[in-house]
Amino acid sequence: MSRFEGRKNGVFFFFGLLMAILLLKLFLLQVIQKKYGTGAKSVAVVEEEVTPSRGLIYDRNDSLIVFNAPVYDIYFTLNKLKDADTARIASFLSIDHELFNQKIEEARAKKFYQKPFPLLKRLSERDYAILQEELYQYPALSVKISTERRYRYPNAAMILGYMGEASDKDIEESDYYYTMGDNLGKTGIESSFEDSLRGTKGVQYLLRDKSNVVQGLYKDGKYDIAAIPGQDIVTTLDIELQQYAEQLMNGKVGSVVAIEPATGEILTMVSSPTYDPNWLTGRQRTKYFNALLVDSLKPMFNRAVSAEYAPGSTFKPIASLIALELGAVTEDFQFPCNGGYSRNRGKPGCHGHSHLTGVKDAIKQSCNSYYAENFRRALTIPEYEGDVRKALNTFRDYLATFGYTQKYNIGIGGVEDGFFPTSDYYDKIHNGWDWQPMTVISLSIGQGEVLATTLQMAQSTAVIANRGRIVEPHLIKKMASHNMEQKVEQSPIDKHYFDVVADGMELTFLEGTARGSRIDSISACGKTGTAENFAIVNGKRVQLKDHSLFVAFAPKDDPKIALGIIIENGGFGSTYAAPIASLLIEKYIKDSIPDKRKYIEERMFNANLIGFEKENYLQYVAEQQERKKQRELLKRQQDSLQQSQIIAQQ
Amino acid sequence: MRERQGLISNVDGILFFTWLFLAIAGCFAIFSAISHGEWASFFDVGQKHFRQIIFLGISIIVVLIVLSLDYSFIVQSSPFIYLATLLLLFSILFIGVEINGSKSWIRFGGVQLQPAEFAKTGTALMLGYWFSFKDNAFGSLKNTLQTFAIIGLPMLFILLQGDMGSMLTFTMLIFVFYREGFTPLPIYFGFGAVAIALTTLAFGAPPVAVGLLFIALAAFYFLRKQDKRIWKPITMLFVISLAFSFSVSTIFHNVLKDYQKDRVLLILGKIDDLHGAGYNLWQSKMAVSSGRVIGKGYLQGVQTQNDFVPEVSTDYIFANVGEEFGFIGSIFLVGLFSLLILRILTLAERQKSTFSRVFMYCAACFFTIHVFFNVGMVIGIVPTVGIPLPFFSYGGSSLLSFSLIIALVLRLDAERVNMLS
Repeated sequence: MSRFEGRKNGVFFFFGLLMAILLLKLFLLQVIQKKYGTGAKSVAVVEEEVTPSRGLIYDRNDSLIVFNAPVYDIYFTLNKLKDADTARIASFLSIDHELFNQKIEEARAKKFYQKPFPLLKRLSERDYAILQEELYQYPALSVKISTERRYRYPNAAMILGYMGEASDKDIEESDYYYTMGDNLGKTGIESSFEDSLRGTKGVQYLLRDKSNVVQGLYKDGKYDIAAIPGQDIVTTLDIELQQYAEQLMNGKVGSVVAIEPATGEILTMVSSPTYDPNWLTGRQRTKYFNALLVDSLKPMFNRAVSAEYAPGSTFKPIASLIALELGAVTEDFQFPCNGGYSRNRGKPGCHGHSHLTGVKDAIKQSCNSYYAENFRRALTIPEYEGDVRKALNTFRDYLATFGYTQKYNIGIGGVEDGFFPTSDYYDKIHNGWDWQPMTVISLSIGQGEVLATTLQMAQSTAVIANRGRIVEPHLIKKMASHNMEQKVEQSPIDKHYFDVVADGMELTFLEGTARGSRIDSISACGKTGTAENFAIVNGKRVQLKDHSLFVAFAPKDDPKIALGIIIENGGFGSTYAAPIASLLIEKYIKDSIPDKRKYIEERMFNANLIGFEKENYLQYVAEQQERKKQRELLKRQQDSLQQSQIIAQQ
Repeated sequence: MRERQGLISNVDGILFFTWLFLAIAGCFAIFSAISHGEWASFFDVGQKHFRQIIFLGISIIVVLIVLSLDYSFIVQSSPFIYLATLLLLFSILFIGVEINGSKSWIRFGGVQLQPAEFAKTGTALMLGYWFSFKDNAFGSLKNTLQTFAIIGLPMLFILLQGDMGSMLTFTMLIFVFYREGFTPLPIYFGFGAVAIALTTLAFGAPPVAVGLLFIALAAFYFLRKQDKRIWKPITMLFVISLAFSFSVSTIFHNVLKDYQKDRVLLILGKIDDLHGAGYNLWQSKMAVSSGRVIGKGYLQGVQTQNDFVPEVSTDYIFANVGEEFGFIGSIFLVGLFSLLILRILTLAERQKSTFSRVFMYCAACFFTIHVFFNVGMVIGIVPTVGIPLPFFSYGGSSLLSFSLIIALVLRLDAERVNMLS
């Protein structure tokens, strides 16, 4: 009856088609695709992470250094916050309302609507107990118990490193192993061995309803995966020596590295000023962290491995060894001092002393003239027929066996490789000019371009102590998944020369530059160093107070400890570095300081060159910042005064 | 007396029992959706499913009443019913109760009603009336505009209430117009636009441009023999399509807000998002998918019962059916709805009166769009629009109004035998 009756087919077809589309999609979803199917288990049945306990850290004598303590993290859930009074919650938790609003914004930006978002972290058991009573009144808040690091000693912060919250980048790079609010090692051993320390998270399947109320274990835990606890680490540190070294270094800027020569184990590594690792735990963390960041002395900068210094005279024993091996000098080689290197118009200068009778005497006296000649001869050995470039590179190759220019993987980050120039380097800076041994003569006494870290100075001393046996320095003594195999090599330098140099270093203590720090009961060997310290201030090269350096090992035969010390702006090597070294040696080997030398210990404890005090650190930083602000203000006032004067003159 | 007996025997059994089965099954589905693991008593009077049962009882009474109505009374009262629903829709803007962001509810004592549901019945009746009394409803521009105004007015009011989903269901009535002689062009253009928009969002504008170029060249190649000037409309369509594609892409990337983009991307399957826009969808898809082929069994839907799927007793009830009865249950349910829809269309086509045919077409359109959009939303092939699944979603208004439509279809169809062709 209708003109358009034929159109019914189109409608039938189309309506049928819509239903067919539904069935097709249902077929895909319910029969073909597995993705959502397995997912369904994880939501009604909620997958809950089980975080294993983090591995503990011990010192070399199995004394516990780092352990875990329970802390309580407060989370909030955005969707349940809807009508809640955020100001009231903020005051309940005694946090800033503004901070809470920021967190809410952050949670919203990251789309944490259903999932809890971290709000307040690291509440101690006591703080949490106070809140617990009333927590039920705030359904948007939830609590997650986690653990936090605690430190039995206020020491070794720089080596252990600190923990911090996983950043978005961390989470992404870990392929989402970490989740929002997880902590991970940020520096030091905590960071280097994060994967082993943290263990492997487990999974627990819980039946939950939408309001996150647990209704029980899914299938009685049949599908649960147990967490694998983190591995413990035994470090090579001697925590007592570390503690003692930190006390001695208190109030000084610099670093100490002590190595057991036979094994390459680092006994102590101090970078000063340092901080108490417990500062970066609990709720005080933020305050201290910010203070440490702005402190102009940079207590978070590991000077022991990251700062590079001119090694100064501590370089001389090595220079002797290389020159002896090259045949450039003999052990009886004599050279007049003359108060300066006569072949180079008296440069470098020397302090003027009696005539030198050989290598041992040169080390004892630390004669610059002698070492300048020593180096010149090494660069002009007859074998190379005057090829200074080849000779310098050979010298550099030998130097590398002592650890110079080497970047050691000791188990923490930030290790620098120091510097020793190659011939190419000089060709480049002298732009084709035919440079001569005299051009680079500063290197002979550890000045000029050569740079080394305290670790490298200690390592080179350990090589001498070992009489040429080279063991790589390291911080990890025992760890289940860590390959402990040590590469041991023998130096290409004749063992006899090492004995000669060791004799010279012993004389340093007995009669030479370190005689003031002589230890009666131990035959120690050492070498002082005083490194000239230049800085560029306002575009001008200014000489600042010298760095005080010292390297030593002891006992002379069968050495137990080798160390390198640098005190920035400490003056002569014998002023601070040598006494501290002697105290550390005596403490480590004899376990106590005799009364006779107590006054030295006392003097070192009390020598505060920087006004740094651990006890009221926050105040110290605040005052420092205040002074800085005032200086800047003064400078601005002066600048504007100057400007107004200029304007007035015009 | 003879006539009444005739009426009962003339009621279409397939449609009647399909309706009854769906309505009863709906009550059971709601019972499952609201029970939380522990099986609440089915006879707990305070629960949603029991209220739905009460509404089912009311619906059955309404169906019986409607079946007893006089045919011409229905026809004659159509304009008044339409006007009454319009008035209700209009007044709701002022006296309505706001629930879930849309002001589409009206309260009578303790009962809340959603007039938009009943507006469907009113509009369908009015369209039947209009087409049977207006010659050439699309004969002139004026007539066409009047015809469109009949569905335009309720759509406008519903849109003003903020009930986007209900408003969209009315667009389906374009198929009624098509069946009654309106040009199919809007449908073609509509589908062309949807296809271009979807492919643009899925693959980006440049590949779509290349594809369109191929289609245009192919069309020209095959059609040039029929008409030498065919290149003109083809070029025009090509340019319009191209412009549309690029503007879709521009609007999507520069105008839409992030959350709106997310919704679109979710449907296209480009992102999976457990927390934001996609939470509901993710949960419902997982629930349906976890039912696999045979389902977890009645009252065994862990997913839907533990409140993970939001609104599971109303908009997302299909997730419960999909989880508990699996693909077999899904086929059965979608099949039953298909049977319902196709049966109504079949009945429509055997009507002698334009009024009956148009009304039944409207009914088929409403059922189709409700089933397609509701199930499609749950399984993620259409964006989230809150419209109920007929007879299954909890809600008295919905159950009552869809039952009313079925009742009217049955009553109008029963009259067929009394009509002279």
